[in-house]
Amino acid sequence: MNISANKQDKTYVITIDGEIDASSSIELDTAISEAIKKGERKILVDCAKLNYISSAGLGVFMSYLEDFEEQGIKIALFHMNDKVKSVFEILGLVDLIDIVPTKEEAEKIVE
Amino acid sequence: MTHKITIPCHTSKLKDVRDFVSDVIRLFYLSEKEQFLLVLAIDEICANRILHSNHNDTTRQLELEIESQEDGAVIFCIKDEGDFFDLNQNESAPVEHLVKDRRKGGLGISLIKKIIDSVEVFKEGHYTIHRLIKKSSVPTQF
Repeated sequence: MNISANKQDKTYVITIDGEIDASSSIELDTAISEAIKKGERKILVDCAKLNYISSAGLGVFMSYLEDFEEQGIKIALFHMNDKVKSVFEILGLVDLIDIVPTKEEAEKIVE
Repeated sequence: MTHKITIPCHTSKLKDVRDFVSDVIRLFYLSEKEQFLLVLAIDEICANRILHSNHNDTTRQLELEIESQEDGAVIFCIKDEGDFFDLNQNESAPVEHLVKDRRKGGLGISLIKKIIDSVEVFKEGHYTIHRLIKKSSVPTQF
């Protein structure tokens, strides 16, 4: 699994490539933690190459929702395939975090 | 027909488990989404056993057997020497509570219970056995 992050205009884009499980979720945790520390307020997560996510990955996203709320950080996930999205859906997490089809829609959410 | 894999108890081996389960259940009459979710459920139970009951101890082993039944059901049997824990006795905290507490864990057992039809947990000698059953409405060829 590989995670990269870069600033694109006013947004901070985290790109995930591979599978997030109990072994690799720490890398996602580090990427989000770094974005918060840098003071980023508009975070996009490109999930186009995210092939798999387990509860460990879901847990990372969930554990930062309070921080996002408190610090006025907006986050949106985009380009997520249907199988991966179904994992968020099973637990109703799609109601707690924005998951949209395109980057343009994600940008509108964090504007 | 039974399919079996044995791994050292370390989360770095979860990918091997997922690949094994994926390779085996693609032989069954399951939709792609059903296959994906079954792989997830078995990944979750194995991660739970490796981390919380075997403490990522690579000197211990975890054994997974997959068996298809004539009625289309699929049985996953996970055997290890870790601490006994019956997930049926675990009341999963609501997601809202996990979010409020900023917890990273606590979602895995909820996922397993939503995907798998029944889970039996018992001791056999010094082994802890988890028997997960996924029913199917469509018979397999096995």
